[in-house]
Amino acid sequence: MITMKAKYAIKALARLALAPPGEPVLIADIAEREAIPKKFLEAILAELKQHGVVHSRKGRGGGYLLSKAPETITLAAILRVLDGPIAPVPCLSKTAYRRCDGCQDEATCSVRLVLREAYAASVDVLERTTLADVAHNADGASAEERVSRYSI
Amino acid sequence: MTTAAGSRGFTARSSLHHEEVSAHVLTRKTTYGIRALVGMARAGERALSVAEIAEREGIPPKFLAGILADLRQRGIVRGHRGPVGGYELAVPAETLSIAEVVETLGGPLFPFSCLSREPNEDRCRECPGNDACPAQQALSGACQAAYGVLRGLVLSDVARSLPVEAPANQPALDPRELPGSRAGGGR
Repeated sequence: MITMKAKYAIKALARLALAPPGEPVLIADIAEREAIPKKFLEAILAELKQHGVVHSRKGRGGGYLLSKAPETITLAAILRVLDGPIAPVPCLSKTAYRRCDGCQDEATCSVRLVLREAYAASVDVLERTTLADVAHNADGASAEERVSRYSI
Repeated sequence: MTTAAGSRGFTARSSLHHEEVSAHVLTRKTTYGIRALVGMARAGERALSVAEIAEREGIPPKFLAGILADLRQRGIVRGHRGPVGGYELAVPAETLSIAEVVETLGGPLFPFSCLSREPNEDRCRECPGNDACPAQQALSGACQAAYGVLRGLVLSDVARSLPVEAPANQPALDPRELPGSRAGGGR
């Protein structure tokens, strides 16, 4: 359902959301603070840039910034950009509907009925949660947690 | 329930690889198990043979036999031998939650292992502890919402909501109405 790539992206974007507005963040800083392999992070940020989620500034004082306010970037949008359709089965996808392989009949499919309801509940959360929420939570946890993490 | 305008600004992209990942929230074993149990719930008192279920639901018979053996071991179904033998539910369909079926047959594949109900050894390499992981926090709400639904949904809800045949012009029922309005009574 969700790839490592998307997970790293959420962590990295939360970092950008926590930076002072207009101040770029270095890839190396994010990679170190979130323990993300640097090369992988570079590729992820390049992809997010391509989709207009972040932009970069070159040279001294350069780095990555969010392209828009974190309150307007939903988790669902991030996951769709990086992982593609987020529906558990293709026949429930709003953005990439197709019949499941080997489907006999959608109307009588018990699995579709079960997943449809579960998916509706989870996608609702993903559509309502923004990067600002994620960053806010991360900030709250970071103070003491990070100290213990680095002092080991 | 506000959807931020930002979601429309991005182009949805799908790669084959990732579509395959997202298509497996429940294991194949679990989805087959749900189909078989719904079939039994609808058959009522009549026991169904492995061959009958396999054919109707399009499940490989050997795979199905293994799934039924697991369900039998957990006391969810019982089997009868002989010419009119077969499998039937051992518990009322009104009390069997889909979450219980999912747990019996291998559990849902959560996006990361740390989101499963039983936290386990398979943590992310860089895991700072669940409380400190922004990704874990962000996604656990979505997982819990989905799992809550599976806990509240019982087999009889599902069995009763599906049309008996496949009518071409009848819209599917809205499953959001299921648990409350349809629970209890009826057979």
